[in-house]
Amino acid sequence: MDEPKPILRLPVLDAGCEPDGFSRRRFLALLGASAALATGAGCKRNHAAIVAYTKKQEEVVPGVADYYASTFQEGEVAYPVLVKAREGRPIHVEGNALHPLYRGKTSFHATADLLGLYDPDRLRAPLVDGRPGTWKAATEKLARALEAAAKQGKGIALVTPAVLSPTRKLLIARLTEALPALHHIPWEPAADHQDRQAQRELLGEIRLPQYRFDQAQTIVGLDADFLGTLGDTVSAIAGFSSMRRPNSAAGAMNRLYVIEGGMSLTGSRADIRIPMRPSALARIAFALVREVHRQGGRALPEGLAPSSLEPFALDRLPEVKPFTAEFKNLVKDLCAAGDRSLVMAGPAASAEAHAACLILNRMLGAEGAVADHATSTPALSTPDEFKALVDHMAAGQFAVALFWDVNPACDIPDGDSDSSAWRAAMAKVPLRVCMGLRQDETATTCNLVLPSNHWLESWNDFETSGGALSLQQPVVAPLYDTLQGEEIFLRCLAEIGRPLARTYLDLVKRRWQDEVAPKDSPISFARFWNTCLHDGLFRPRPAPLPARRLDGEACTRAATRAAQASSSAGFELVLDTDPRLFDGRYANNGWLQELPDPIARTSWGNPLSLSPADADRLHVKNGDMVSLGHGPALPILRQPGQAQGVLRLTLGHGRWQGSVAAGVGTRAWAFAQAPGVRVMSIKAVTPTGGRQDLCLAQDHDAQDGRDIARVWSLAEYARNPQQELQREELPSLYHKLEQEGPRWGMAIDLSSCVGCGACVVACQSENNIPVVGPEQVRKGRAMHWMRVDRYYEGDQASPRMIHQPMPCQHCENAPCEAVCPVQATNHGPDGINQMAYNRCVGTRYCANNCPYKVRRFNFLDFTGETPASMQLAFNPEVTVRPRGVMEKCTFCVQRIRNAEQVAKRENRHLDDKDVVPACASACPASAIVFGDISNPASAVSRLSRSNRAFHVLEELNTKPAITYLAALQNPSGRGER
Amino acid sequence: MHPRDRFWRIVLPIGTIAVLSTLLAVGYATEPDRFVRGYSPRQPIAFSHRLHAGDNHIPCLYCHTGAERSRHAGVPAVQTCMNCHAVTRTDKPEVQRVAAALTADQPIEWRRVYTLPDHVYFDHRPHVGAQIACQSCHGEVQTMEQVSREMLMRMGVCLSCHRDAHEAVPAGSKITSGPSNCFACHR
Repeated sequence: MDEPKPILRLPVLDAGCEPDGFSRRRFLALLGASAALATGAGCKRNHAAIVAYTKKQEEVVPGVADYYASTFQEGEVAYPVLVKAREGRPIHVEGNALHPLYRGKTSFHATADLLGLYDPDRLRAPLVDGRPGTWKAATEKLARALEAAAKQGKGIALVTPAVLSPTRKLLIARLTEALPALHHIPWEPAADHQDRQAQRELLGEIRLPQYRFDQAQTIVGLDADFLGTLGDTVSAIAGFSSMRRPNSAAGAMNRLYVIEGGMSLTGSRADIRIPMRPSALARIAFALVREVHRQGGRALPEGLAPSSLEPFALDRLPEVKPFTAEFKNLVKDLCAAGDRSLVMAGPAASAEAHAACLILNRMLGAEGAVADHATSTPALSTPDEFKALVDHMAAGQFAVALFWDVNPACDIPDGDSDSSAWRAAMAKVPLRVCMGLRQDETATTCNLVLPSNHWLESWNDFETSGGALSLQQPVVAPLYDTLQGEEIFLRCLAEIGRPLARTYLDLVKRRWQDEVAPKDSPISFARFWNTCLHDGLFRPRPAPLPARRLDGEACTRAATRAAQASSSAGFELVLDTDPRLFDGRYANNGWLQELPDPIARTSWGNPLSLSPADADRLHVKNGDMVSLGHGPALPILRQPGQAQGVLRLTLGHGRWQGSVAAGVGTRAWAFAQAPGVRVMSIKAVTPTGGRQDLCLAQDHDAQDGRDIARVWSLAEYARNPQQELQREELPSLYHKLEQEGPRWGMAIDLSSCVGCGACVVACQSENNIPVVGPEQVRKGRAMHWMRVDRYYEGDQASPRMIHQPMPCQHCENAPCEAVCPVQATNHGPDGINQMAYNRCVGTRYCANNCPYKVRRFNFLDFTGETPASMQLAFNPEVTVRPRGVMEKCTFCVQRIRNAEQVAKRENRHLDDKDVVPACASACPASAIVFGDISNPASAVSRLSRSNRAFHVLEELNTKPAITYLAALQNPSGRGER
Repeated sequence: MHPRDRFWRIVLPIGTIAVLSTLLAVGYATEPDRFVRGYSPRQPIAFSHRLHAGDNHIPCLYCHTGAERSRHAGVPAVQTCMNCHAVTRTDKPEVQRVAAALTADQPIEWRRVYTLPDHVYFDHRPHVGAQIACQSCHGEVQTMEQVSREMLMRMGVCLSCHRDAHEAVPAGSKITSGPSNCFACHR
């Protein structure tokens, strides 16, 4: 009796059991048999074992979490992180507080990518020609092929993501020395290639932009979603939000203008938002150059002929006409803010629009002040270079193609079709090698598949924003028979007689000893290394880069091109980076698939969004399928605020490999003519008559006049004479709470919150929240304890938007508590609304009676079928809930309990700063502040008394422990409401 | 016999007894052993607490180091045994087995004596911190050759002490009770 048997499994619960073939006698017989079986099962004693260490590591105490500093790379950005590990397995990822720029915040993709480590789809051993092989055989095969290619004079293609690691760069350089035929293609399909093109043309040298949003007064974004998807979003959110929370109406507050086609996260936070087709952006940007020159008196760059700007008179551009007042204010604000203004464009804007932004930032003096540049910039191949690679592969010029952590089959327009040029090109390469985590779309077309380590199992070093070097260290030994990509190349180098280092760690250490460690320091290298490894960081002071010369003639050429470009009459389809799946690399991550899009609030899929006016014209509703002339049919989503004539689709969906990713959404690149093209014209959109239910996490978009999430303009804020929130005590039938010790509460500043969803992911990781899948989300059964509501206000064409994080409000007069028949939910002495799972019988009365709708019910056994490897990601401090019980936010009570014990052991009083719930810790905007609301001096108390403070549904007298602070907007001129 | 008579005299009593005895039998047999006092599994190494904690007066926390720092008191690593047994009693076969486990790097699978359901988060730290003797819950371990479970692992037992702790805490302690709200132990 090894396996516990089901105690009583009534056949009525089984689907497909016919009721008429099931007599009373048979039922009794089964009951008897089940009882006997249950008795048998009961004989099995709980013989759990305690497996103690043989040799215990000094720092590991079973039950106490360890933290390791590491680094997470995404696209062109590396984020320093702190990984929480329990008994040697990583369970949560947060930011590294020592980094001067990120200060303990990180991309929520880093937190979510914990699932990538435990993904059951991961490859477990090398595959040689589709059969499991040994590493020795695999590396030998690879080395022989590399040698043979070098001898025959055939090319070797190495496709990687952006290389941010100096040591990896060194390795690739050595590899190229040993194999001169090696052709390295750093490929990021979702990078802003247009910006790189403009920089190459105008400035001659590409530098990764770094914006100081905490300094910028006027920000103009041309389809630049810097809060959601563009570049380093974490420091952008932190900087931007720090300028959004003045203490008074006279306080400093930035002003954000967004001119964009779709509705992005950045657009949702704009003070003035102008819907605009992407093809008009270049003209508008040059019109701004002209106006800043004429009105602001700023000198044009040397060589830029003023005559070339003549076609861009602001009042003559037809696109500008409906927004004349807004543009007038925009120009005025830009000139007034001078070097504290910032103009930026995103990947949907053309290279000419980017060129105009570069000119504007130079003219305004913003370059060097708020528009800084990274000290080092990873090289990237252009989409043309990538396309040339495929052509050369097809021409049979390559003997070996290595795909290292990239999945080009998904990035190539026809990569999924059997007759595609991509497949034909691949067939011409004798040895196709894929180094990655999973058997993805590219790996299935490769004949040598080398499983690589997850970043939580790897050594590396990275250059982060500001020049700090951040180390990556393995937090867990490789779970399967995998190798880090670098190790594979080191083995190959040894195999072909050019050994470089025994292990990659040796190479990293050697490079740090030779190049990084201070030369004249009295500190030994071993100590230096250990300190850096502990902190995760080393902060050298890189010399500032010399200024680049702006080529005036190139500026003129760009202006001429912008003037000649014409707008097409039909629709413009924009392919945007997905805020959740990025370029598709997280498509197999259930947390990110289920995280609702911050604007559309859809999960599991990417509907085609179009403006309500266009939808009305086409007579289509949410979920109706349309065809774009080519490519697959798509469900549509009416997106308020979207520009007319613009269609928007996000990348990363429509995969056909991976147990989570396959079959979800539509592959956006399928609509592109060439790799990397982000905007294309579509002649007609025709409804096909089909329907597909969207996975909407929120199906009501309006506040309907109720004061749920407050938004004030600065003028409205100034009219509010109240200095501090005055609350009158309303009569109540509830007993007064008996309080002992601190009373926990939270303040959420809606003015800082940008709605990114980092809190949702952090909560999911911390609290073992299950992924329920698209079917259950459609039924409204998503289990997120924290959700971020999004409301539209005003007209559909340009609505005012607000995001509101909504965890359990921990009401003092909690309506849920009064209706529970079994007292499973009640109040703790510290003000927490408690939920005892083992007591819950699943009546769901509490959820019905909760006015905030924050309680989640386990309708099915969502956690029972968690694959064994994914169970390792569970937080052992939080109960995994079974079917039939209610659950909700606990204020991360496990962290409170632990902090209490740590404080007690250190013989001090618990300070409310000791407890930071997962959501507050993850929030890049620092919008969530947690603490003791009974202590008037605490940060949360001070915020709760702010003159912007309010409670949601205050009139119900539930007395929530969560105080919201009204969002502020800083509109000007006609934008004043 | 009249059918109704038969029902009252035979079917109902027998039926009632059958149902009740089934319930009792199932209930008794499936009762998890956490409710059972005196459960004393045989351990893979015949380690004697009486010898170590009783006769030799080794403090509990010498081996169960986690009790002060972690929720779990923990079972010592094999290496901890070798702190003494590298030199003492190396001739004993049980000690040799422990030494072999260390040499082979093969962990010892001790049988768990005290188990709690997954939704209970007992924390050793506050209990040790309140200077509650280990014996209050674990019994007189220093007299046991093979450890047996002395505490009835039910919520009522936890709560009786949490409501009135004077029997467990040392005399004169400021602590008179423990928390009795749900989130104290469940989360």
